[in-house]
Amino acid sequence: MKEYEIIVGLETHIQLNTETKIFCACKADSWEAEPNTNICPICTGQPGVLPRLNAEAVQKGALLAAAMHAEINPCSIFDRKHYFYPDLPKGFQITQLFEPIGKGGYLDLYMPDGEIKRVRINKMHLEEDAGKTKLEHGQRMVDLNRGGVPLVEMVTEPDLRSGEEAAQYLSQLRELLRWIGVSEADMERGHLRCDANVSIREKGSTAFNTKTEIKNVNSIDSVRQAITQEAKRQIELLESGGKVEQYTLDWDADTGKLSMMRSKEGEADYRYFREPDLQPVILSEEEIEAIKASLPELPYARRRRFVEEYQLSAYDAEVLTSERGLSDYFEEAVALYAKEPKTISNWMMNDMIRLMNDTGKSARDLVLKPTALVEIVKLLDDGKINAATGKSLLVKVEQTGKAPARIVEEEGLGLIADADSLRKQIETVLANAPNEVAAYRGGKETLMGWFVGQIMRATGGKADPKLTREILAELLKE
Amino acid sequence: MTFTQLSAREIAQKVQAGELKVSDMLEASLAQIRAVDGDFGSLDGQPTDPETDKKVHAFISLTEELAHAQAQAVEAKVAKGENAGLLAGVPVSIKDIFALENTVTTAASRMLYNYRAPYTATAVQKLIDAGALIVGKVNLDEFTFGSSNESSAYQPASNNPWNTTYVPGGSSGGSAAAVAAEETPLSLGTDTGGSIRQPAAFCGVVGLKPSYGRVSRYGLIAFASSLDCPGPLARNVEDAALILQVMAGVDERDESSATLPVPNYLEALQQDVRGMRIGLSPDYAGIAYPNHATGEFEVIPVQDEIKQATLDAAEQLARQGAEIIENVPMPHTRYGIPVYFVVSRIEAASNLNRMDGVKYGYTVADARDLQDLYTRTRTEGFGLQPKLRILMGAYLSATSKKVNYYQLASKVRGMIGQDFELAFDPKGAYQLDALLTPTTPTTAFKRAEIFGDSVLMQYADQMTVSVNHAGLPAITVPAGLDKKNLPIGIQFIANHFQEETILRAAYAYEQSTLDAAWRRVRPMALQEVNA
Amino acid sequence: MQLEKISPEAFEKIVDMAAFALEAEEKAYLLEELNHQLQSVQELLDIPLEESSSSSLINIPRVGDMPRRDEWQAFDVPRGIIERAPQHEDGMILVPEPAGGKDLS
Repeated sequence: MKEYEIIVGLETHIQLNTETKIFCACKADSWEAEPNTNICPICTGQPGVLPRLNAEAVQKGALLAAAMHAEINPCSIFDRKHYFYPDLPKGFQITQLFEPIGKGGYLDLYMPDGEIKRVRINKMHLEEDAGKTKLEHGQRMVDLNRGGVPLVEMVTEPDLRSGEEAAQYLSQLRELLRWIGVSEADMERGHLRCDANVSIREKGSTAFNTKTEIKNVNSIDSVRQAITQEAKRQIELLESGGKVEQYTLDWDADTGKLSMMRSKEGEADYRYFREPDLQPVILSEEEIEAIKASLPELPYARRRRFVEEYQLSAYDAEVLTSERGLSDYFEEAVALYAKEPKTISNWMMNDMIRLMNDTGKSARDLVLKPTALVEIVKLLDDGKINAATGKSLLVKVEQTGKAPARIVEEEGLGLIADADSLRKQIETVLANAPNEVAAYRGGKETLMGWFVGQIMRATGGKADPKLTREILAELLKE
Repeated sequence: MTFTQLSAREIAQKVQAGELKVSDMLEASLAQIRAVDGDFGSLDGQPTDPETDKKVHAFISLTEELAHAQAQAVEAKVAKGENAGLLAGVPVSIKDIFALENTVTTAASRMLYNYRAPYTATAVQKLIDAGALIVGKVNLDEFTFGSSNESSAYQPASNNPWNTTYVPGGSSGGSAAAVAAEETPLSLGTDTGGSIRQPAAFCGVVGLKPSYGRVSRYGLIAFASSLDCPGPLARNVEDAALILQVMAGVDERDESSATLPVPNYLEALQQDVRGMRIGLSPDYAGIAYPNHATGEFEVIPVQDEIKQATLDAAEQLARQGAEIIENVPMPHTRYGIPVYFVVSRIEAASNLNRMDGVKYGYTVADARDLQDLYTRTRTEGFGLQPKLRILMGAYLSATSKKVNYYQLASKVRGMIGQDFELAFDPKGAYQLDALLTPTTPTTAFKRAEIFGDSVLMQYADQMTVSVNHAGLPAITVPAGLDKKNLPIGIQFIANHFQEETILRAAYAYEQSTLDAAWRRVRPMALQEVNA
Repeated sequence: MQLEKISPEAFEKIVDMAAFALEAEEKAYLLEELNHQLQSVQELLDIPLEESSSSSLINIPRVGDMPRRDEWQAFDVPRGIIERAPQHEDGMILVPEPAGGKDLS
């Protein structure tokens, strides 16, 4: 059998997380809204209405272009793409063909083996989403809530070489979208949707062969599986003397099966022309520079920096940069702590992540701010509390919003570091255990641990362990 | 003089002063409609016999209830001594292409025969807010596609009140007829290639096409989005200035509406034309028209009487101190119609893609499948002229074509605009304030005379369409009657947002001809009523 | 220059694109008128265009510049919009299925 290479290009639709739709003031997000309740004359294509471009959608589209290293178009223009479908109220979609918001660009994929794989972007433009149709009891129904939601359509060059690479692309794109804050990128809610173009060729060949398009691969697993499966089908087809035809395939995530939707009969004529109701979108040099400047440090750069600057392990750095708010939290705490970053990282990796999981909050939403975390760590460093108290303080601060020191004081959680009062309590414990004292003095020094335990029990764990040992050693000597 | 002969300005002043009851004014307007209008256009209606039919048929529907409610609101304001608005108590008719909430907006098409708009057009809302009484919706060519009103799906379509065997022009033919027949002193129309100015000229009234962006397009059912302009038809220049004052200004719902401040147009009328530089162009002496039998372009000269009226007007203005600059070249004027065929058809075909029988309007109840729904809805819902425009637009915008006609036409459109830029350039060779031209190459034509010849019909707009390409303001004013007693219109064109200039010129001309004999002739349709 | 004419095949294609089903008489009229109009349009092909003629795109007069702020404003009667649909039920617009399940998009 010959050796084959898989050629994959991905077409993604990214829903921008603006407050309103792209051309009207309806809410962009209709999650859990009743059908056709989030609509207006504009997004339902009433005769006589006009679109009004949402400035925020332009900002977010341009920010995404910057993040993809694309050129931000200083004068992007909307076009009309015509076709009839019940979910498209105007009979055309407002999109960008000739002068899109971003030109060129790429995403560097950090592969698990440490290699960096560059995936070029073929096109990136702003457009409006269509509504939805659904079939119920044999009746086709139209819900226009989604119509007019701002999208960026982004298409890669055929630079991906396996289902796994495609999955990596989608996963890292999703991370990036959330990181720069332009999309919630929740694939289950359709914020990030994906179609895949798949073809194969003999290894060493540079030709592009007939490709098939797989629609609706809307999870990272689906992308991996569907592409792998389709490539296998194409290879088997070629090996058995067949020929790949230009099909559109549908991926059913429930059954894990591909089915043919239709064969492509020549390109439809969409009669694109410039949308005359919208002005060109002009971005000045200053505005473009401001957008670029607002681009945060990207996840991989930050990951690398965490390893170098804070000497974190690769694993810790990855976890702490898995979400932008989390990594910002970590850095803020490190800056306040001014000592070993590893200490903060340990707290973050264990107790803080547990706290976030338990409360269902993201780092940004926690009541417990980095200042409070650092205060707790310092209380522990100074021997004012023990480790268990430290951990319990995290939860208490989160619940009450009070400062850690105040909780320690109010609840009497501080360690007994007063030698006189501790000495009295130790004397009482020793007085009640004459046999053990005698045994210790008789040489059974392993009983030291037992004495410490007794004192901790008597003090409710608040005895300063170091001081306790010192006083015990002194009293038992006699 | 009856109330219906009052100007809008007089009505508003009398109403505000308590000298005229709003309900009397409304009743007078409705009575005039009953007297002269005859059958309203309807889907079941037929064109009537031009030999026997002396009625105007300007209207498709009345909005009496709304008008009564508005009249009461104005009355109440006047009673309380509040400012009731610049158009207090003025009856206004609306071309049935503007959305008015919960009234049927047909666009004179079967496609929207039952369409009740869920919102109100900005221009209409501004009229209402200024105290106007919206008395009804007037007829037009189907979806504004025509220059004669004959293509309306609502028959009988409007007649020319001056001679009911002639067309009122189009597409704002109902508006022009309603104003000429004194049914309403003002009407709101739209102008895409001349659709306000040509019918205004044909019906002997004033028609103003503002600069693109001066009046919001929101709620105007779009024909060609980059050319469409709402604007008024009025019986005199002052009324046109008054209603423009009300409608002009930025609208947050229309991205193409201008953010420029709105000047005081009524004050502008008070300035004379001394020193105003008014141009005449040889390129407006005739229309270049392709004879499809011979394949050759022929130049058909402008009707003599119209040419003469234009020159007379120049003379009148010169006497008042204006400077007349002759031989201003406008070499790209002849491309106005070919460019219009491309731009307007492509945009129109696109705008009408939403008419699919799914969301509103005409539909077929028993469609076999989705394609059947679309095809039958659109085939039955659109008349022949919209079909022709949609097909031309589809053909010219097909991506598969070698030539990108929209881009090509847009470039030539830019060249048409440059003609005006050069003429109006304050440092250029001509330094014009306004260009004076005939509004139309001929006076009104007879019904059925050229209907069906879509090319000749279109070329009738050659004097007006360049202004739409360039986005400029223009006004037509009555300038006499021809031998057949049909009105003649002359047009003033100015630079972007210089509405004041053309209003001043038109007003000066109008005032200087108030005593002209032709002004005493009344339209035929009015000769029997309140003569 | 040889003038372009719309062939009967090309005509059928645009009729299909426009979703029309036409009678023979209508077809004859429309095709003839289209070709007359096209003849006029082709005058544009002979115009010497200056290289500097800006692309099509700037010739719509640019006036306002008012980016819309991203603030939600609910339309008060969404239900009224759906009730205008010829076929609707429980707030949904109803449409027939595409022929043969063919996806028109």
